[in-house]
Amino acid sequence: MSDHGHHEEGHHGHDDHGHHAHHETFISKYIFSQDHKMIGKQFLITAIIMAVIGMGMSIIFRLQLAWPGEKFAFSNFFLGDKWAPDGLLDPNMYLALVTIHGTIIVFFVLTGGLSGTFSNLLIPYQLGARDMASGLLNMISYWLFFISSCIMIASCFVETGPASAGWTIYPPLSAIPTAIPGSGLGMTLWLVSMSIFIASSLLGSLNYIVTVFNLRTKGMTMTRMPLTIWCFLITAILGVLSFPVLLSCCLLLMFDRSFGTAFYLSDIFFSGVPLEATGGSPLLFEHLFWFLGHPEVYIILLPALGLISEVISTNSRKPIFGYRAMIVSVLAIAFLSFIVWGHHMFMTGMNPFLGTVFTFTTLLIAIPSAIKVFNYLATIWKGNLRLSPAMMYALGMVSLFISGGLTGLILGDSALDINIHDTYFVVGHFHIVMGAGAIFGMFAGVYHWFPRMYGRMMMPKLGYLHFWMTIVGVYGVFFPMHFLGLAGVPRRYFSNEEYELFKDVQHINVIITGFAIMAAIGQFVFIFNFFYSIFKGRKSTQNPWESNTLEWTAPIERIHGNWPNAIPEVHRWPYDYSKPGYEEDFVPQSVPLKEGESEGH
Amino acid sequence: MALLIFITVVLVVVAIAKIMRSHELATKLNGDQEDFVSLSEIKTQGFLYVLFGVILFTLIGVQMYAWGKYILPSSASVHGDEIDNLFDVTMNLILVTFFITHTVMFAFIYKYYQKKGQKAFWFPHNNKLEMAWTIIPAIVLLSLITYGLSTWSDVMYQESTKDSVKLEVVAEQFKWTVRYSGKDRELGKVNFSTITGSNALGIMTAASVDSSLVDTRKQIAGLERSVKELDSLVEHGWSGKEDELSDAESKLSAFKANERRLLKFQKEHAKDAAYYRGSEDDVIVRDTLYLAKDRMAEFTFRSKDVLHSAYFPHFRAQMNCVPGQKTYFTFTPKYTSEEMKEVAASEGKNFVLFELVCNKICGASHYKMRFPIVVLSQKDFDARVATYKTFGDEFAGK
Repeated sequence: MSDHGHHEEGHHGHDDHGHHAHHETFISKYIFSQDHKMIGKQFLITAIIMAVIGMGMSIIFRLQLAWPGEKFAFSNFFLGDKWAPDGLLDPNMYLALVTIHGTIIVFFVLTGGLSGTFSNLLIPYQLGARDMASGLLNMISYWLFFISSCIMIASCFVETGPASAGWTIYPPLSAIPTAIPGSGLGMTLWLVSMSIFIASSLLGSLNYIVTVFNLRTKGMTMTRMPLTIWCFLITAILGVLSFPVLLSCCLLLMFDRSFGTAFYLSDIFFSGVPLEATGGSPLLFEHLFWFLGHPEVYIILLPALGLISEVISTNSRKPIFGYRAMIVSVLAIAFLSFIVWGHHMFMTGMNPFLGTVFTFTTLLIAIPSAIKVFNYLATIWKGNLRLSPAMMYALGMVSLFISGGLTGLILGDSALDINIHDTYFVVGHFHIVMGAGAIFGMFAGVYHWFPRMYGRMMMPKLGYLHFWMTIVGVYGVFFPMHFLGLAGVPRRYFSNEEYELFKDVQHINVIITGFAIMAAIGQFVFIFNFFYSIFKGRKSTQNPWESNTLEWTAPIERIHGNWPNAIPEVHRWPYDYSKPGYEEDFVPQSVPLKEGESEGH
Repeated sequence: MALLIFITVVLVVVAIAKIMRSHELATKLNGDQEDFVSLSEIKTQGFLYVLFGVILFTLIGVQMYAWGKYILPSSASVHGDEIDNLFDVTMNLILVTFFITHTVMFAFIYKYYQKKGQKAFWFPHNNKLEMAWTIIPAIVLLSLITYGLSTWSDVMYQESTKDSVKLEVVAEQFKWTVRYSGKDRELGKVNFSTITGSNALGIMTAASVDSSLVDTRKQIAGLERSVKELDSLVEHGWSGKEDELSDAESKLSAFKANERRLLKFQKEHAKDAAYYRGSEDDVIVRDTLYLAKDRMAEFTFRSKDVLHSAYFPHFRAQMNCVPGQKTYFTFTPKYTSEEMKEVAASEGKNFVLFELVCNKICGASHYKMRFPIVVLSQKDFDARVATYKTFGDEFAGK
């Protein structure tokens, strides 16, 4: 093997004084910290707050969907008399809630929160680096994320309401300020917030890529990296290649809104006026949007898959099955994710021939996905499964990845998409595979690496309670949605009561809302467990899960520079669990090979 | 009240957590110190996972049994049968895969949860297995792709028939309008510049262009007056009029652009009767979309303002309506509305009427943007459409 691994000399010369906590003030340690661990935690806590807001919004609109026309003090309490007079939700606010719920969960929780937390925490730790390549950029990345979160929340308080054209903000609805109240100032703030978010994401991603390529410890060749790092690396590359396209997409929309250009507008007769802007096309927006939008799905999913690969292997006490096949399938998924965006646009009036091409590439993604699933199943086969809360979530994600991935075969098939495009079938599909799936990966990560973050353990019993409430909630909420979709119920409808066609299925909506409320209550169990354990949790040991990766060779207290002495050297891949010839069922990466031992994997 | 409920919920959660915590401390005191997760706990969770699997499978079965009747009745269009077949094949494949992989997963969890003395089997990879589960999905997917794409091309590339109905569906916030081609089987040209109160679809005839020019100039004159007034108000320090002024100015500039476009039309096509061919005999229907059984309907879709999507659930048809662009879809109804009631009843399904619904978020009343569809026998259809005035007559006020 060639020596890709870099020596520790180059690491800011920290080796002789691994930590200098003595000069840190409160502000430099907890607020403007440049330490990857603290930044990871900042991302995580911000994401938890955003997730609670996003979830709360979903409860408000689920109440409306289950009992249209009923008055809810709950809605009135949060939205006030303007948007929920007497607790009766306003249709414009309904659309705004749907929009901001989607935006928050997709971008702020599952992109910023997931990658931000775990890439920051794990890349330096698992590679044997003192910190990220650039601590300053990393800090700026978090603070841009924080500012964009604040702007997004602030947009909910403007007079005309927040953006309400759906999280995909298709123009002309989002471009004409009077087309819907939310397309006024709310939309402007949405675009500003997203632009800052993209800057944050790019700074983060560039940092991750540079760190992975340059700061691996001695012996850490590419094929000795844990799958988590592989997934973070590929995610970061996806982000760097696709987020700029979303930025240009948003900028052009700003121009159309504010400076009279016509990138997305043409032949519009709105409220008695033939608009001056002609020659643009909303399809251009859709292409640009989904050129990010589809890789975005994998920007969300891949880190979660990386986390559960590690969690499943460690807790099965067994090497991940088909390590190289896992890497190749992640690469294949990442590559294909760039050439499938058109499957969101089969029914947009795009040339049907393009539909043919995109169906082909889309269904191909099922092959690497199937390989991943089978490899996970082969990993738990004949394992010694330690069903810790993290493992429960990891297995739950495998289940959701199967359930949600399979319905993708229907949506990705252009001919079948004709009849279920934009129905609840789609809502069920992507919430299971991408929403809940990635959230499960995130929970697996939090439960597993909590001792690494805080030196204490979360309470397992509450973890199990949280898991069962969540998985039952997820299946209870999103599985019935497939039936609504097959009954032809369109998404983003304020109420289905107008239609004879959909009257019969109203009781399904009541069931869904019931499960949604239960799942939401379950999340408070997690929040309690999380914050309580930070201060009062049981003290962790250095390597509580008897894991092989390098982060567990660092001392429990989180010091600047991670290792007080020299950085550990790596001698083997990270999955030597239950290797024959060893007494223990794990062999950390820093343990040299025995004489005559082959590294073969 | 809401606050009280909220506080109660939080307190309940906290109370549960406290109980769990004290239980946990008690367990710790009892000596189960070594592991962070105890073997007995793992056994319970392994059992719960299997129980969850059984409940999940049962409930999926119950849902399919109880809610199967809400799935749309069989297709009311000819091409829809092909889609339904493809759907059934794909769905069966999905269900089989779902049940097999989940059964395997739950079985492994139950069989291999951690026990004292159990050792994991060293099995890092196996090329044959990996080949097998690459190649088998690849073959299955390639056949699915081939089947899917042949269906897609059958649906999207339908040869026009001699007696097909050519019609246009125009979407705007929040209503639908239908235009039939009339006797010449040709839809006349349209342009958004010619939209006026009496020509809501912007159909182009020599007369409609002239009249919209008159209209546009009237607008310009009015706007020029109000710009002047607002301008002097702003100059004299009236606050709060700036927005109104800039609004009027942009409207004025929009109508001036419209005037230029209309003049261009007039200049280029003044003597060009062929250019306006096909418009006069178009028929506009505003309350119902009529279709004829067994006669192909060739749809053109347009939108006047924002994106909409024309979704015909019973006909397995859908197409977005895009401002600035025409989009197309073709289908042939198989049953009249009356016949469909019997078909649905024979499948144990509820059917009241065919509907066209908007399926792309378009504003506050998106959820109410619907249009009834009535499929008639060919004879009834012809008779029905003939009761409507042609556009030419309507516009001339006849």
